Amino acid sequence: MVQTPLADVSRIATFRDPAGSLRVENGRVLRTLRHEYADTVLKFIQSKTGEEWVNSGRLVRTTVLPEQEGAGEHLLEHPHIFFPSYPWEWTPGQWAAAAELTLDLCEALLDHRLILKDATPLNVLFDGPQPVFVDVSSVEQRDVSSPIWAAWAQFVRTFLLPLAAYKYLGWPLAASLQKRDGYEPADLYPHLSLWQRWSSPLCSLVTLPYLLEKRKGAASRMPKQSPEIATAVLRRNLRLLRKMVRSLSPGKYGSRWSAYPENATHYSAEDHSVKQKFVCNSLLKMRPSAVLDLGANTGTYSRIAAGLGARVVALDSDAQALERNWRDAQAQKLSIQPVVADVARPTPAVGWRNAESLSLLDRARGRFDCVMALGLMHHLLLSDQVPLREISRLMRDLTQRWLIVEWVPAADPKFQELLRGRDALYAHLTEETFLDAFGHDFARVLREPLKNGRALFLLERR
Amino acid sequence: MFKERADSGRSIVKFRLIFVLFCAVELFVLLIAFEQPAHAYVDPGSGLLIFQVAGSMLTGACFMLRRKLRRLFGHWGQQNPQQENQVNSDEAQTCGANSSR
Repeated sequence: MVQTPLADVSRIATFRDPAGSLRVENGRVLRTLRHEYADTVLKFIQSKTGEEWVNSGRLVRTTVLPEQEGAGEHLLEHPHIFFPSYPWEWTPGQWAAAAELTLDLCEALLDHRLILKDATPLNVLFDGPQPVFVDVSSVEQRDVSSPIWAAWAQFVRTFLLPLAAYKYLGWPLAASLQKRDGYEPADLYPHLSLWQRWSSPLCSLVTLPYLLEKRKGAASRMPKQSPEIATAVLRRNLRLLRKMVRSLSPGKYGSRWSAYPENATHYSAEDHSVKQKFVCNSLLKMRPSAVLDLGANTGTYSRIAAGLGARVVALDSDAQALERNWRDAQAQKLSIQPVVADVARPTPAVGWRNAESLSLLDRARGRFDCVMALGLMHHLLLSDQVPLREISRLMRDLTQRWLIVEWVPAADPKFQELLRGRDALYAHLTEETFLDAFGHDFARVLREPLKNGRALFLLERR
Repeated sequence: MFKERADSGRSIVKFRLIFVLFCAVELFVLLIAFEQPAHAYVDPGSGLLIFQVAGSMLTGACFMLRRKLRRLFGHWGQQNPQQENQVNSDEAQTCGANSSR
């Protein structure tokens, strides 16, 4: 059997947009634009508004390459976004930020007789905590006499309905992994109570569209209005969408882990201080440029690494804890990118031929010179039942050089909480067996014992 | 004499009301008459599209009706075009036609 190398598969070019496609080739992000669409896109990119958007970091920078591809297609190049994350790995606040960015761009385009022809979270990536609009080929000429935004329904399906389902029904945003083009109103309607169906904004987003769906074909024709009126109507509709995004933006919900730093009674103030000092000193010693913080929670250690100049990807399965992490990073302008994912069940590759969106590990491999796994090991060992040797292999896969790891002994109250009577099964888990298992892949550089019995290690990859 | 004046006032109001109603009907007829087929590469939806089209037509009709009303009633009709554009922009924010959304 011939196996296709992963790198080849991941090179699949995007194919849905008739205007062109995007591919990653030899580490370069290249976009082809068909001749008939190129003028509009390039005109906007080179306009004053386009430049302002690029300079503010809200639109991806685009370089027009001198060479052309077959049939007169233009070739453009974008810089790499450090760590592409997908909507199913975003916190609720990131969804709202990406939605507002899309609406802001669409409104800015109206002045140039342009519009966005599609509106999906997949057009946005995060560079640190900031959303960046990356799909420049979404810009198209606008019919100035049409008050209709063709991507309106897609915006509702892919941004608003997932946010509504999360807010009102508790459906995780990660479920969008299964829904490339979002939810239909009919997906939500049966799950809403009578009161919810007729309350704002669900009445407009779900109930009325659901009831109107029965009139098939009635909207296959578009209204025409004077350009002035059409533009005013479009602006009005964009404002209404923005209002809905804000009304669906999540409040401050608590979760199992979101108040962990405040409630961590197994840590004394002194232990906390020693742990932070150890992480800080280790980072100062290594000076990593890219750090992956596994089990980052609300980001205490992500912020230390980012404060020392590293780009940090903060990974945790608790969306609410990461939401706090993201908001703090935004407020403090730190390069921390939250990724909602479970390290024990990492995000799979999805889409056509499993090659439209890369798996989490494919994106992470070779990208970080330091991995931090603080307070994580006992969860992997006991909750996910992963052997020590396997954990070591994963860490070796993820870090290019350094690993900061916390060992939690069997006597620790948090270890006991997860043990749940399986003492005999895990009796072999000691600091010595941990060091033995990791010794195949890592060499010990530093050890710092804490008064609560835990120990911190700085390891270097062999 | 007072009766004549009152009759004349009533007939002006009646005329204006008929005119406004006529404008509104004319507007809807025009909006529907100029429909064109939709072209988009993204799925424009069915119920969501109908909702957007209906909402946009209603908002557009509301804008036009307001403009006609302002022209009809003297003191609003005196504005210069620049002011009127500003009013149209404000209408876009305040018009209640889409308030049900």
